[in-house]
Amino acid sequence: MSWGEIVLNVVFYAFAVAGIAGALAVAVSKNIVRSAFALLTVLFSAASFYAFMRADFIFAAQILIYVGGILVLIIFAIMLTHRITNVRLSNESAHSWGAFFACFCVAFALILIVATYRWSRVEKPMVAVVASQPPVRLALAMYQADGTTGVTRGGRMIDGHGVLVVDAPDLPGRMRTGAAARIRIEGPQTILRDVPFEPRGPEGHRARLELSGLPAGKYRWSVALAGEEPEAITPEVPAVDFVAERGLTKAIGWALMGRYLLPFEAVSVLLLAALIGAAFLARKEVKA
Amino acid sequence: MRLDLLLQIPTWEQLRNGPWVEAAAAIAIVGFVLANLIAVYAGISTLLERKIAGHMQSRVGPYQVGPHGSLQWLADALKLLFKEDVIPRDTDKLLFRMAPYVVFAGSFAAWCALPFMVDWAPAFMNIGILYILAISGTAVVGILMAGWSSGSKWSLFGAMRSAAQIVSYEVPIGLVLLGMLLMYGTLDMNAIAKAQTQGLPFALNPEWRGPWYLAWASWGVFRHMPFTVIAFLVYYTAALAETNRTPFDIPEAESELVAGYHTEYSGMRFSFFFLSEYANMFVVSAIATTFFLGGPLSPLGPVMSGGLFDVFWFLGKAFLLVFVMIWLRWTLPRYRVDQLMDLCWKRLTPLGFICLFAIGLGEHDMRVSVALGAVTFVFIAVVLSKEIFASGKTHPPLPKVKPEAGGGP
Repeated sequence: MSWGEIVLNVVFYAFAVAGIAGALAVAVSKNIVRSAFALLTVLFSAASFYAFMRADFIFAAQILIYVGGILVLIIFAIMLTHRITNVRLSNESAHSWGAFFACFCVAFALILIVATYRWSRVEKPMVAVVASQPPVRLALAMYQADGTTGVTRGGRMIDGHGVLVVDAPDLPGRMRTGAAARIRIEGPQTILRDVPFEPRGPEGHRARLELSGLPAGKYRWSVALAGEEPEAITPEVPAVDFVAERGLTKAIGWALMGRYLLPFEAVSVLLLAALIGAAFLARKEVKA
Repeated sequence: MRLDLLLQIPTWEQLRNGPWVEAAAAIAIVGFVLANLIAVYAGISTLLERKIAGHMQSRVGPYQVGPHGSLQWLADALKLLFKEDVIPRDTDKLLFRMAPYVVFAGSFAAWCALPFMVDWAPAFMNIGILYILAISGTAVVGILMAGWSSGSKWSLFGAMRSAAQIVSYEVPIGLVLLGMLLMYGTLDMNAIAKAQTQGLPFALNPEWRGPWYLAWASWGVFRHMPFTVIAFLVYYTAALAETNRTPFDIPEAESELVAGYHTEYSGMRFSFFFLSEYANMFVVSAIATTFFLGGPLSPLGPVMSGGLFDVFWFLGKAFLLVFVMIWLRWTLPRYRVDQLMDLCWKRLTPLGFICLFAIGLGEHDMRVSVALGAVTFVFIAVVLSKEIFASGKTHPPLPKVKPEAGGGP
């Protein structure tokens, strides 16, 4: 572990401890206003975890919506309630056995999920410069089969399903028609296939290879440009994180405005209906 | 210290792989410089505020410390440092002590994403503007904290008003910035500034790079006239309300609420609220500068640009907007609460929607942009000429306010 990683770990654990302490304060504090303010710590440390996972958009949205919106609303509601600090709080009173049982069930379910889920290590896509004239950058990344939006990316295949994606952000003009990526997969089953590049707007070209039903085992993959003489094979270069460079905001935008437009709009209509309903309920009755 | 060392702030990736000592040192230096920049800037702004107020009211303002009172801000800072930190009996001690720092942290954290140079910001972020809006919104929680923990009615009312005002005025700000983001297609503050190096008004030619004396024509505020101009005015008005400045300073209205949410604070804790108010003024002005006025770009294109000139232009434009804020404070009377909400929801928010819609249409097709712009210009001209030539116009009647039973204090 390098010194840089140690620094990152220290920061991470500082946020984690702060989050747990804040959550405890929310639960145990006798003063409900203090509980509400302690929620600030919890929400912030959750946002910091998003930042650690490079989910930049979710990080900002978490702070913007939860801290700037929902927390303020909660505090407003508490502060506007008459003599809120004199109320006997439920966390002092009787329901301790029920609460204990509920907590036990939730903890059991969480531990079960943590123990049984196949955690995939997130690996960086390999970026290589192909030694052709002029040099071409290729980024090789393995997506999980369920991560079709490209938001999630994992380095390990689950149950032999996955999508290998080769991104070429700056393919030179003469190669644009008919260029193909030669993907080589070595492991229990060896695959060598030429996959043609397809244009994807301003982001260059992309070749996709869908994999399914591969036998379990360890696989290695490498990429080259097919048909270039001499055949250019990617050398080992220090990996650069391609996705982090571009950020996830664009991907989320494309997903929300493309594939998931209908659910997105349905949810917003639902929210609008809730808003109108709230305004109707809160409105004063005007007698004619 | 070499300046170019400062300009190579490493990313997290480099921090992980590279010489982390230098990276951490660079980050610490940037944080230190920013914190001190805010302190000095806020100090000088208080002096300017008092000087401008004085001259606007035919006084001279502070005159005792230094030549023409120019060192008054240092004396004020020293006084605040050595003042007794009074904590009243009925306060919630923990929250009372914490609140100023929560408020200040929100304003301070926003500074690190501002594009001080064309290709440099203290922290490179692809979500720049989203981050700034989110992190400066957390100050509301601190304000509520201060208001509640003070155990005083004035503080509580001030905090409630302030929070309601900030949350409401975030709506027009969000709408207007969304419209401008349609033009730029990125949330990155540096990329937004850079996108204003080229392009003609009305999206006539997005590739255009004119002669140096017309470089300012590419700025965002001229892109879809008059809608971008309206967007700028809407943003600036709403930003005034966001920072609790006059004419929207009802959270701190002296005649009604003593000093609002920081009534009970004194000494250094009070000065933290002060710092964050001035820091916030700069942040909203810097956002306006970046979105509408080309950010760190020189108005003369390649002339006087690059390096410290960028910093000069960025700070110059932002300070100009801060100056206008101070100017307005001594010119306009205060709004009432109902007028304030009226302005936000019935005037600025619809205007924001119109701007969003029009800019979207204009970006789609330049002919639509030209046609819409022409129609709106004519419309505005007609309305204005009616306003000017209308004689004996009576003001609309004030809304009837039902007096509370028993009367107020």
